[in-house]
Amino acid sequence: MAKLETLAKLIAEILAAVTVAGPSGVELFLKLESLLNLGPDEQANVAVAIKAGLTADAETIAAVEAWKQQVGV
Amino acid sequence: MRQRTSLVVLLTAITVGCIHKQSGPVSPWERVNVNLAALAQINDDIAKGVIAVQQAGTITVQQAAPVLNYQETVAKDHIALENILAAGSAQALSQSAEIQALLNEIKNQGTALIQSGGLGVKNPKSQQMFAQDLQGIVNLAEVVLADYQLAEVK
Repeated sequence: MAKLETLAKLIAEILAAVTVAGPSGVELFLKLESLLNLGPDEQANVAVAIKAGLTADAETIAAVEAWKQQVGV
Repeated sequence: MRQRTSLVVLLTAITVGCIHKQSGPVSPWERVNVNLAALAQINDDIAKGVIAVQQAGTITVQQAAPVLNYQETVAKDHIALENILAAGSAQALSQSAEIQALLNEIKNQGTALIQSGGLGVKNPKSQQMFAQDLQGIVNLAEVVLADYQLAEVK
């Protein structure tokens, strides 16, 4: 029963956070949700995680470099 | 942005605790890779948030620059880590010192940036907000370091 209450509280907190976070926050939530649900095969799971991480890195570097060019730093 | 921070902190907590696998236990190696990928995705989201806040005029270029430089460093260190990890667990375990050094760099630079108070954000609440954002990255780096050490033992 206590576990159910804890779970319900967590879900309520997540929903509240997602509601106010807006589209980009929800996008991150969905990305992480997808990342955290693993299939049965370890190698495939690791490959998916590595690819997801590298994609995020490329986007971060591109965004920061574009910002630097734009502001001239 | 404050709400985004709350979500990031919450997501960090979820990430640390809740990796689910369809069958069998989550291996330490899977934990290392999934938490590292989560770190990269959260880092990307924060970087884009800082850029948006700067472009909206809430903070100056000078205030945003050190945070974004750190986040670019995190992304580059993460690429270096993934290049090692992509070679497989045996290869990765032979490069233990380098992996731990990269994770420590992410952790230590983030901690230093938070402690410097040099985020340059005028609004004290905003400064706390970016510090919390960065703390999420530092926390995940610590989790991955612990995961990695566990994977080394097994």
